Amino acid sequence: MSKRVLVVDDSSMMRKMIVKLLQPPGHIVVGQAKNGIEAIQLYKELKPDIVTMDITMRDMDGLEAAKEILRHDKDAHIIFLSNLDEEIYRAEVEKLGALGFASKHKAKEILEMIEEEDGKH
Amino acid sequence: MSTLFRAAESLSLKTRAFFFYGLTVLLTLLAAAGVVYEHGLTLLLLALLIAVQTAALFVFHHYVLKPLAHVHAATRQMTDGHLDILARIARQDEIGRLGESINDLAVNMQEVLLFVWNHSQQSRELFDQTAERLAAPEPLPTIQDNLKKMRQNNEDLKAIVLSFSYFEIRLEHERMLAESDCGNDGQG
Repeated sequence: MSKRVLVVDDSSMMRKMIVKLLQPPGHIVVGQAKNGIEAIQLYKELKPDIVTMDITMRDMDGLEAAKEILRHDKDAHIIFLSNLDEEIYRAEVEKLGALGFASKHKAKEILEMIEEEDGKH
Repeated sequence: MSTLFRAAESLSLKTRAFFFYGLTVLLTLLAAAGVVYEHGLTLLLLALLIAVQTAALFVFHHYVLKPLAHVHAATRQMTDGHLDILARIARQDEIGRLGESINDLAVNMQEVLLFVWNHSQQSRELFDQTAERLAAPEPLPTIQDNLKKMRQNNEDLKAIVLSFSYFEIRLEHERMLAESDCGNDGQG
């Protein structure tokens, strides 16, 4: 089923790549944010089904933004998408209550995670 | 008063330039009228004109030259490979936006370089694994699997490279081509 997605990444190029990845299976990118502050604001405005979240960003990083979003809506579905070491950071984002962690060079994994999440409902 | 001050801080350079231009024209016209009608106010108007010009110079220094020097210094650092330097101006005017765009360039460049780093790291792991497997009694399935993964990594890296457009270069059918006819000296 198609999902409404908020894409958060400080790199405009990466945002473009994620959008390109999400659109063919029918997902709708409802918004794009380039830092944590924008992400929180857009989340509250748009109420997306899924958030793809970068970790290292200027102004406010993704972990902090995710905490704030989850405080606002404990059912938020956040998938982290980062260049950072998967082994080290996966545990951290799972502790936070995120849906999952994908390495940017394996960004396609987010499609599987969205599908998996969809299957649960 | 403070809201007025904040509003003045967020003006664009274009608005500032028009403001000073308008004020200068108005004072010049008034001074000219003073000369024609031999009005005693002419000297005062000319003095005001000089004051406005001085203020314009100050604004030019504070809002154009200084932030430009800052953006320039940060950009120099970035071209030397320091992608952690920000070309950030805490203003929303033209130079602030220029600084932000330069930051975006640096962010994108960092993204590509980190992607390449992760890519080579992963390839190395697969190479090591393959080499190890070659010594095992049944090496083929793993090796084929690893080769498939390496190929996929390669495709992903290529997708990143293809998301840019290049000066004088066209990437097509797995080949790198010159955009124009390079050998022709630009004649044909």
